[in-house]
Amino acid sequence: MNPLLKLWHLAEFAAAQTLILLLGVAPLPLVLGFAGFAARVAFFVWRSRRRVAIENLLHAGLCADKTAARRMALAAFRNFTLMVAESIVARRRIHKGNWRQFVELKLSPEADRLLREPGRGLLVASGHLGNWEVAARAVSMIKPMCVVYRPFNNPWLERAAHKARSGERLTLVSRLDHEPMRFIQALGRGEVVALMIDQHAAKARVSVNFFGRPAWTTKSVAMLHLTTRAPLLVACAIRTGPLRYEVHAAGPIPAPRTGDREQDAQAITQAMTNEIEAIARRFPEQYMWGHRRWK
Amino acid sequence: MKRPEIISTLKELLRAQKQVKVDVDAFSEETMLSRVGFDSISILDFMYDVESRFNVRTEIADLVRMERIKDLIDHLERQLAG
Repeated sequence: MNPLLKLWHLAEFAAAQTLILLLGVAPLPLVLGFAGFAARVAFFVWRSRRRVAIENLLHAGLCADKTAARRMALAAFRNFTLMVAESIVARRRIHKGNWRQFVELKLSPEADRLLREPGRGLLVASGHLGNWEVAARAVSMIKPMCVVYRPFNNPWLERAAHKARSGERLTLVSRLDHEPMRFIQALGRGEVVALMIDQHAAKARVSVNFFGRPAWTTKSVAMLHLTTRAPLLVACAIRTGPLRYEVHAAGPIPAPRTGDREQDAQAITQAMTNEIEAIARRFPEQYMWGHRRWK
Repeated sequence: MKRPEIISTLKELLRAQKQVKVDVDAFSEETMLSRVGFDSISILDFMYDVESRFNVRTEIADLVRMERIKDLIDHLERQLAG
């Protein structure tokens, strides 16, 4: 590794560890205040993301003008920093004995039944809405969970984050892990397999309509469903207050099987995307608009 | 459908998978599925195509048990016989 890059990674790792340590022990109001401040700094400094967020909000038709879009984009930045900060706090404070004090489940009756059915593998598609870290932690209290995530480029940060984000019943699997049978085996063991479906996908993808525009989306969840027939839900944890969340889950998503693989994958992915869009429309300030979704 | 026919159809389906970049004719029944060159998506594409072509249904429990190509062929033989 380039020595300068190594030094940069070490500095990044040390800064992140210090921040995690401080946020973990600081009183919640201080953590929230810090998250709000960090959001403003990021919004000011990170011009490219700010521009993307504002453009995305305008294209989505959620804001009447640029001023409103700028306000909404700042709120979305704040939600993101809150998500990171509260996730760090949640790792220390939310556990098996008390998680219901922090997380309320708002599931359809069928989704609730499937989640509680022992031994039943379940597919969950989600988006970058509310607090996806707490959502995974809460659901894993009911059923063991296998979550696909994007690893950090920094190897030290990646090892530490992987360890911190994993749980007793929460397994993190890198999206770079190409072990072909991993998710099928997890479903076979009766676990929840959760994947995010609202990021631009460069391969193994289908085009879906998202906020009125075509967006390339991974077909992995649809294909897992078509192959394993595991029930498929769309779920998100919406933030309702400091360290308080509601997990919303829709489904099972109906999945017709026509014999045309790509058409079936597209139809299911579109149905899941429609659910994500509906929640993002209800809680636009909690969606991660800074991502270049439409490329 | 007889076993050689099943194997021939499977090879045809494997050749149609863009992601599989190994010599399909070199496979034996003992070849591990994990050695075929699938990634986590292409194996799903392949299994969908297998189900569609043979008009069979494969449950998760069957999929989990499949380690070698032989297991898949045995599974298809059982399904087609039933």
